[in-house]
Amino acid sequence: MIAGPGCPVCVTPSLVLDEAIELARRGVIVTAFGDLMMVPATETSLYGLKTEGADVRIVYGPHDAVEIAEKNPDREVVFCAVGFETTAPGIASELLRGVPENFSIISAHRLIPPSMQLLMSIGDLQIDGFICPGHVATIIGAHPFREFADAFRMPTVVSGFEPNDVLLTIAMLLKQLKDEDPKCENEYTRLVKEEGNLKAQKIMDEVFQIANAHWRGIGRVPDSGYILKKEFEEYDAEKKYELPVKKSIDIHPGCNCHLVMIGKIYPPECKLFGNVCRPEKPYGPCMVSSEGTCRIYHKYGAHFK
Amino acid sequence: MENLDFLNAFKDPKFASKISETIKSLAPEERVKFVHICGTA
Repeated sequence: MIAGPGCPVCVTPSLVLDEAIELARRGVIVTAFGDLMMVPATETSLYGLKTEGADVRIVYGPHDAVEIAEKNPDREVVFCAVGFETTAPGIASELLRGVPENFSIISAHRLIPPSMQLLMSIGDLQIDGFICPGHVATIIGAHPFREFADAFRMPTVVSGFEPNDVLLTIAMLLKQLKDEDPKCENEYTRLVKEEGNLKAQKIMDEVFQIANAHWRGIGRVPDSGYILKKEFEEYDAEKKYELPVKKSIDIHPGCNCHLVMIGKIYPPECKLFGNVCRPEKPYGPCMVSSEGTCRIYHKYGAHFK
Repeated sequence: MENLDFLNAFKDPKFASKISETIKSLAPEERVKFVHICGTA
């Protein structure tokens, strides 16, 4: 088993964090999910900036950020909108409902199926099956994952995240391999429908449009991100504040997160793992979040030996 | 109803051991690699 692209915090480009840091330095209230706070950007992290006195606040969702904007009408508030198809409906819903003028977002949403297509194009990965994320499929449906079985003959199962879900998914993939019958199956039937959540898809379509996007450590992936549609440009922090385009550093010297993210190496194969790069002081993005591959290996790695 | 039955099956404390036996019986001789698309947010 190897962990594919994700977690969302790991693939968020350093540029997004650098922009948020620049805004915080200008006096803007920057809001973000807690996971994002410790992620190293080019020079520092949001947490590092907070310790210097900048107004950086952790929120549990976009609605909290909107409330902060409503309570601080004389301040500008920016929300770092990261995540996959699962978090995009939340921010779309807020923008459709109406947000105050002093609220805007840095849109860094990423889409899962295009990243899987990228993996398929890396010839030496030798993948035998995909375990697809049930939470993403809850929104977009199981059908976007069918192409991997239909076009690439790749065993594919949409899975839940409970241990029993994963065990059952492994059994389903092995059965497909044994029968030499690759297909896309849905293990997570209690939540995932073939068509997905149509209401969520509708509001995402109203607010966002698909565009090429940069993934930290992976690079530019065609049609893999969401940007705000023209009707919502006034809430695009990158345009509102005319943020200077600058060169950000995604992968610092010695870090191998880019290879971990595409499954080319296991975290312990990185020389920095566990010494220079540790959960309390992460050097690479995969060591930050509890969902990050390196962080998970650091916590549970002994079980894999 | 089908989903409810599925959840009940999950609650069976022996489910994991049963499915583990199934996995062992299906495991191929050569090593296979599955990618868990893990984005959990």
